Amino acid sequence: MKIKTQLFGCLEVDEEQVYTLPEGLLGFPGLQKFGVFALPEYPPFLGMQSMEDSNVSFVIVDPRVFVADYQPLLTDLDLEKIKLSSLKDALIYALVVLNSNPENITANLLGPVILNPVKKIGGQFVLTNETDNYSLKHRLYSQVSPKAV
Amino acid sequence: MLVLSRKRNEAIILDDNIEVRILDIKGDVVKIGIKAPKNVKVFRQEVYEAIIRENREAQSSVNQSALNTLNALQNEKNKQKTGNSK
Repeated sequence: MKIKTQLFGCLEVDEEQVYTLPEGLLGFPGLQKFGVFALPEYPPFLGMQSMEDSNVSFVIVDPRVFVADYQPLLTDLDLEKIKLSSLKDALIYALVVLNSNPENITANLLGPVILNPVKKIGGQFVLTNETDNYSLKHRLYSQVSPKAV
Repeated sequence: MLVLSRKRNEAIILDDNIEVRILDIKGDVVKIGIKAPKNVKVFRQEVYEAIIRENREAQSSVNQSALNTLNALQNEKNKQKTGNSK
C-alpha cells in the first residue's frame, strides 16, 4: 500500500504494518487505518501514519524503553476490544510530542496506543485507574545534559 | 441543555440502560455513581479534552527539524556507546 506523506515522503507500507483502530484516536475522528513502521534513522522511535489522511503522522515510542516498569492496566473489556487475553502479547506505544529542545520531548503515558500484532487491531486507551498516575506529558530526556545535545 | 434537579441518592436514566446517581454532596463536591454497559466510555471531561489536545499536539509537532533533534540525540548516544567500549 503506497501513501504520500508530507513528512516521511512516499511511503510503501506493507499490509502487515497496517492496523485498524476501530475507535480511532481521540481528536481524529473517522481515521481508523494506521501504518506503524520503524524509523531507521531515529531509533527507538517509530512512525505512525494515517492511511486515510496523509497529513496525519505521529512519532511513537515504546514507553518501556524510557520507563522500564511502565505497565498500563487495561480492563478485560479493553483487552477484548483488541482481541487479546493478556497485555503480554501486545505492542505498547505512546504518542510523542516532539520539540527541537530535547528536554521538551514528551510521551503521553496516560493514553497509550495498544496494538495486537497478530490480529492487526488496536486502540488508544485512557488509563482511568487512579492508582496508575501516569503523565500526559512524560519528559523523555529530562536528564539530558546540555553537552549531549 | 436539559437541566434537572436531583437530591442525594436520586438518579437519572439515560437511554434505558445508563444510570447516573448522585451518591453524596459535600460542599462543592458531588460524588456521582455511573452504571452503564461496558461499551459506554466514561471520562472526566478534563481528561478527555487533555487527551484530544495531546493527540493533536503530537501530530502537529512532527516536523523535519524536530526529527533532526531525535537524530542528533541518537547519534550522541551512539558516540557515547562507542566511547565507553574503547
